[in-house]
Parts: sequence; structure tokens; C-alpha cells
Amino acid sequence: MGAVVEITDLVRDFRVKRGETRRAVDGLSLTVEQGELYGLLGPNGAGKTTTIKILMTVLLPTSGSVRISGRDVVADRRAISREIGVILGGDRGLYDRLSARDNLRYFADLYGLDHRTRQRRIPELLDRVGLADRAGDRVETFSRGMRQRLHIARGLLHDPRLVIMDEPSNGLDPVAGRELRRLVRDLADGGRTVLLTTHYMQEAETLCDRIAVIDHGRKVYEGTAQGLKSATEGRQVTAIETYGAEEDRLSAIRALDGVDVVNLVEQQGRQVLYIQAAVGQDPTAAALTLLAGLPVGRIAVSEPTLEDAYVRLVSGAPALSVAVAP
Amino acid sequence: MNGLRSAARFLAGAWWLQMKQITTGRLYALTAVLQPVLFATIAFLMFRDAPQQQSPTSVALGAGLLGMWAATLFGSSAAIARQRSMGTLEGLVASPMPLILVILPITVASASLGIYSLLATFGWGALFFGVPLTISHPVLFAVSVAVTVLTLGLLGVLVSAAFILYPAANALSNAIEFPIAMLSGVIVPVSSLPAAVRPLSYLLAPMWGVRAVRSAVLGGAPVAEPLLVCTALSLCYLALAAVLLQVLVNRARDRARLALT
Repeated sequence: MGAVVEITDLVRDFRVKRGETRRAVDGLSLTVEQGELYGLLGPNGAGKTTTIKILMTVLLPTSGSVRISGRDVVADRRAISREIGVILGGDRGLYDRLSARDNLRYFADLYGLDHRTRQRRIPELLDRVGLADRAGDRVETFSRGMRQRLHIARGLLHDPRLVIMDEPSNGLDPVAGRELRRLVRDLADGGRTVLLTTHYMQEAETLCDRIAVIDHGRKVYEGTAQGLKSATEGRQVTAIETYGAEEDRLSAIRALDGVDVVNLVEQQGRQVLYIQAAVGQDPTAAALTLLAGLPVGRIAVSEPTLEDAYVRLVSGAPALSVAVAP
Repeated sequence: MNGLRSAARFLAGAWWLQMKQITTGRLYALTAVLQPVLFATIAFLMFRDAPQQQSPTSVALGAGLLGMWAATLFGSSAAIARQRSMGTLEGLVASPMPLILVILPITVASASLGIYSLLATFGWGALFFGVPLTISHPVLFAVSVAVTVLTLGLLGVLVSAAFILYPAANALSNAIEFPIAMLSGVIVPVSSLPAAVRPLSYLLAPMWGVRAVRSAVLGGAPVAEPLLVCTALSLCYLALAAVLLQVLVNRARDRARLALT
């Protein structure tokens, strides 16, 4: 074992206008060990993608140190680029009018693969990601899931030691998402180090050996998904389906005795209020009184999930037993 | 030696794939087909009744070379912008390949389409304006065109470098299109330009390429000499472009200019 990624006191500022900067990453430190599947979680704008771009050497840090396999990402950029395979989520990053095979050929040449290795790796990877029968088709005819699989093949062409994935399952349908998770798990089981960012708690819970939650560019949690979940022990979540709840009512519910967090999720034209509170301090009756006049649907009480623990962490609720590693 | 061989292999493969990527775009292909024909028609009509007569072949050459330069500039300017909008620019910069070798096949692919421009102009001229299809030194003509394509591609790399840092640098490429064409002797011979600007022409590698192409087609002037000067200047462009790209990419890394957003 040994650290593959070592980030120490990383800071990255962006100039927003003359004389004014916004800090996207604020003193972040973390370590990813060899063979580990490490998840970076956080709300939009938390600094995940900025961190990933610094790791992939397309963005310079403002201060701090980032090392991959002991090499500095600024000083040893070229050597590092051979060590990492970057898999970005989304539709872009491929040549749409070229076939899947031609895309891989081009990127194999970019990484200096010799002819024999290239001829072996491309069909092997296309087969592994399930695109062997579409190898000669133009990428513009591919679905989002197929593009994502091609991204994975592209990122693995040069057999990198570290695989970095930025929101790999973003926008995928459930079947494609499950297939992608299987591929990611296979990578880690094969001994590769994987660092991924994700919005999906279930993905983090089922895949990652360890996770870090970052918010406003700072690490607010590092440990296992189970560890984060255990921070909500002694809590329960009441879900109330409603429609048209305004901020005033939500603030009033937040102020109820024993209520820690209120999270509002819009789902297919309706709202679901998730109210976290201590077991034994059931807020349902009081919340329903505050929602008087609004349509109310199903009400369910359950144990908190990882997502509830995460929401609690990034919503600024009072800290429970969540540990932040140094 | 091994490094040189793998760089050459990369350049050839990348050039071919970029040609595929560019030529399968319908709008781009339409522009590439129409533009030389338009240039040729305007040029033939302008020079047909001009008081100072130029040979029809010379007119065809000028129009063809202008189309070649336009195709290069259009393709080179769009090269970085296209990579940025396709989301491939960050991946290219993050690769271990030096950026000059990544960009060069893209701009040379654009310049290569200019060969079509040259041929289309001659074909159009022969069909509708009676331009004789005679080339004094066919082999030297082929070599001169190949060198000119490379040199235009290199000039294209220099232009495209600006787009790494400034996504909206189109104003620059629009502004230099005709001045460079004039200074390169594409539209009128360099000898008819004011003496004060002629030194600038001599620093432009395409000017020497154009001179070699003209001499190879029309005969009566040396071809090897301008070809050598063109090659030497192109090597200087290559070195300058490599340094410039490195500096600009580092700035782009600092200022977060590689992504679309």
C-alpha cells in the first residue's frame, strides 16, 4: 500500500472580476491509498470538479501541494499524465463524427501506445465496455450511456494507475447507471485506484471504500459511508408529501422543537419534505398544523439514510458525531 | 530516433482522423466546396477586362492560393474553438503529447483542404474561362504545394494559439486574413506592394511557398530557392509555435480558460 494521491492544504481562487476573487477550494487535504475506491461528495459548487481538474493537470493550484504517485502535478505534469486516466461525465469530450474505434485510436496515439499494444487494447476495451458491435459506428449515433462507456474505454487505454471519474453516472438511466457501477467496481477489484465524484449517495454507499464530503471548498467529513450514516443514530426522518409549501412555512417547521434538518425535494410536480428529528420527538403533528391549507399526501417515518446524513452535514445543521479526519 | 518515429506516426494518424472529422461536417464541406468556386469566378471576371493583363493561369493560381489560405485560416481559427466546444481541449492538454504536435495535424488538415481549393479553381477556370491546364514543372509543383500546405498549417498553429487564452479571438483571424494574403503575394505579386511593407512579406513563409508554386506552374523562375527559404522559415515558426503554445497553455491553466465554462 502507499498513497497514490496526496493533497495538502490545496487552495484555488478564481478571478470573478477585476480585483475580486472567489475561493473554490479552501485548504483541502486528503489522501487516497493504492487500490482504494475513494468518493468525493459535495453539493454543486463545493469544489469537487476544481479539485479533479487540478489532479488532471489542466488547472494550476493557487497554493498547496498535490502529488500523484509522489510526483508534483505542477512540476511533473507530463509524467503524471501517463499515470492517470480521466473519465469525465457528460456528452462531450469525444469526436462525434468519428467512430468509437477511431476515437480510441486517436487517444491511444496521444498517449504514445505502440502499434501492437494499440491493436490489442482497443478491441479488448471495446469488448469490456460492451461496445464491440458498435466499434465502427459514429459516436454521434450513441446514447448517453454508450458515450459514457466509451469515455471509460478511453480513460483506460494507457492502463493508468489512477482512474479519476467526475460525475460518471450523471444523467444515466438506472440500467446504464447500474452497468457503470459494475464497471467501476471491476476497476477497483482489479487493483486500480479510483477517485470519483458523485451526487448519488447510493452510488457512494455501494461503491466507495472511503468518502470525503466537501462543502465550500473545505472537507467536512472523511471516512466510510457507514461512518457518516452512523452520525444520524438516534434520529428519524419523517417524509411528508405536499404541494406549494413556501419558505415561511419551512422556516417555521425548522424552528420546531427537536427538528435538526428540513430538506425539500421537488419530485414530478410535487414536494416531499424530509424532516430529521430525534427519535421520540415526532414533529409530524406540529408540521401538519404548519402546512394547514396545503394538500398533503403520503406521510412516512423511516430511519435516516446516507443521503439524510449528507444533507444534514452540508445544510449546516448542528454537528452530531461526524468526524473530520485531519 | 524512436521518439521521432512515434511523433511522425502520431502526426500522420492524427492528420488523417482530423481530415475525417472535418470533412464529414456538412456545413464545413459546403463552405469548402463553394468558396474556391466563388473566389475563382470573381477573380476571372475582375481580371478578364483589367487594363493590365495577367495570364489566366496566374489569375487561377492567385484565386486558388487565396482559397487555400482562407481554408487554413478558417480551419485553424476554429480548431481550438471546436476542441473547446466538443469538450476535448482539456483532454488534449492533459495528455503527455506536446501541444504543438496535437494542434499541428488539426491545422494541417484544414490547410490540406486548400489543395482541393487550388484544384477546383483550375478545373472551374478550365471549364468556364478557358484557362489552360499547363504546369511547367509538375513534380516541383507537387512538392511546392505540399510544403506550402505545411507552412500554412504552421502559420495556422500560431493563429490558433491565441484561441487557447482568448476564446473569442475570431476578430484577430478576420483582421489578418486579407493582409496576410496580400503580403504573401497571393492576390498581387509582392513586387507591386509598397517598398515599406515588403520586408514583412519576406518574413512570411507562405510568401516563399506561393512564389515556389507560381514558379513551378508558370516556369521561368527558380523553384528550389524559395522552397528552401520557405522550409527554413517554417522551422522557425515551428519553434516559435512550440514555445508560444507552452506559455499560453500555462496561462490558460492559471486562468482556467481551457474549458467551455
